[in-house]
Amino acid sequence: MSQPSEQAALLGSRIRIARERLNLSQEKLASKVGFNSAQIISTIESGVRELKVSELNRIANSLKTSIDALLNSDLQVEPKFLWREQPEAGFEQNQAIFLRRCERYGLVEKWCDILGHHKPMPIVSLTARPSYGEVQAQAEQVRNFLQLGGRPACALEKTLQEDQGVKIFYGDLGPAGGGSAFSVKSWFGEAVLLNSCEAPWRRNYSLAHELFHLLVPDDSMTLSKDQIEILANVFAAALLLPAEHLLAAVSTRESSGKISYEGLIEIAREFDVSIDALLWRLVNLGRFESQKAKELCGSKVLRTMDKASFPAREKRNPLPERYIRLCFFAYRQGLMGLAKMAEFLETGIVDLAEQVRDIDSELATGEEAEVTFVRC
Amino acid sequence: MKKPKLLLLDADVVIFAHQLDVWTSLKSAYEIHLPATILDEAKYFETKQGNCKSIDVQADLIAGLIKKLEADVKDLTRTFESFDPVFLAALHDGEKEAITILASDGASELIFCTGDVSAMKAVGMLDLASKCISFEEVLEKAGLLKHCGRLQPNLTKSAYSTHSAKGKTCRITGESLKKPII
Repeated sequence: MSQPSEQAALLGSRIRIARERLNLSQEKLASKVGFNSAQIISTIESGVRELKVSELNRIANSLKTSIDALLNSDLQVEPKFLWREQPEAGFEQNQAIFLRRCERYGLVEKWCDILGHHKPMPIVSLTARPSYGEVQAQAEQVRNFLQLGGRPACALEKTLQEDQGVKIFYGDLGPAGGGSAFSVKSWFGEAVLLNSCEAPWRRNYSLAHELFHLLVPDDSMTLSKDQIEILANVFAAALLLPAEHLLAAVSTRESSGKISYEGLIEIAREFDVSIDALLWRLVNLGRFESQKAKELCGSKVLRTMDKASFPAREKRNPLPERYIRLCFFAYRQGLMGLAKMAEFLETGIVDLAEQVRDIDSELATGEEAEVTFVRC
Repeated sequence: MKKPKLLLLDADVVIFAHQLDVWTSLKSAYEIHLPATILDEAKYFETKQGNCKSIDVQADLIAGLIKKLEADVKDLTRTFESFDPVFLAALHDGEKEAITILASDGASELIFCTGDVSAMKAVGMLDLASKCISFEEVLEKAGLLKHCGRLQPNLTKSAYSTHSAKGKTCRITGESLKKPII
């Protein structure tokens, strides 16, 4: 048997790590790539079998990564994923797809020379065992820093994406049990994946929850994972339901110390949070007994009325708008080709070529695609 | 009679040739070679509606109308070892394979045609610009240019000459490379 070259052995070990990260057996990978035996994967991983470029391309695609990540250690990172309601199994594929999208986003930002040129993230300083009050106070500061106003949920996603450069993707994690969201921090910056199967207000809450994880490293607190998750929820509630604005909204609908179910639902929709989040925030602000909130959370009447108020669910593109814009910008600037753009936008090259041709046809009419500002 | 040129095409050019409806004429005029990676990814040549009738390079391969070329990973690594990984990541894998084949000793007759400006820059960086040609020139030499109307900017002689020259400059400045080559 021939001795593996150092380079082939290194590549083989990276393929093995990427395969194990996805929890794939050698048999399964062989079948995905189109090899007729697991033995071929074994010889590749041990560096004995040299690969063709097209084979490596198929392997990289099956492992939800890229040739570049497998060949260059600089681009291969294993960041820590922080889940909200992590499923017991089957999350590896979602993590790998998300990571590949984040890496692509980071590369496009690098090509456009804007990676790391965003406004800074807010700084949150907490003690090792923070109280709920401490966390709520920090949430208030974050809201002011990000200038989210009185209805923070409406502005949170756009602000984090456009100003702070947080990469926010949507993924199908399933309607229940597949997990709610997760976040990650690496060379490409901060990134969050939200579950596209969830209602918009639940996704808002998940985003605020993940923001806490991105701002406060878990290891900065001497608390259990469950306790940290509770703090992230406290932070999310305080961020999305600012006391002053919430209490003002309640007082306009309150009559003789009572509020109708319709009134509660209206407030929940106005702040773009779930009815549960609203009720527990009102408990926290001393406007409800926790027993009453529990009863209301279980009320079929309230649930039915709440559901009836749901607007039609919009279908979210898994890729962020800003990322799509940047890809087109990079293409027009000659920083990436059409085939690469099709790969990055996860679309067919033919469809994309048609779009590009349409733009070029318009440009061919002679209209300049730039305008000059008035000098101030 | 032997066809005049051996052309190695990247994905962009295959698509544009189909859009301009000159694919069949090109196959008659040139001996066309495609990198294996592009043939593997031929499914992306379908539109979202699944309209793949006009772009079926696999059928051309089976019929012997085009040829497949393959590169080894070790050759790819050697070809691009001096490149900055961030720049390299902008090249599509099919383009990387095509350039690797072009840089190999056995490719003396091959001429590479690309519509991707990063690939044009890359051939300049590898001092392979003399083995490449713009799509405009390919059409011109086959007498097809007059049927094609106004070409997209990235397919023109001028774009090729600008971007391959940029690549040559990178050899001196070290831009997009780990260090200057010259």
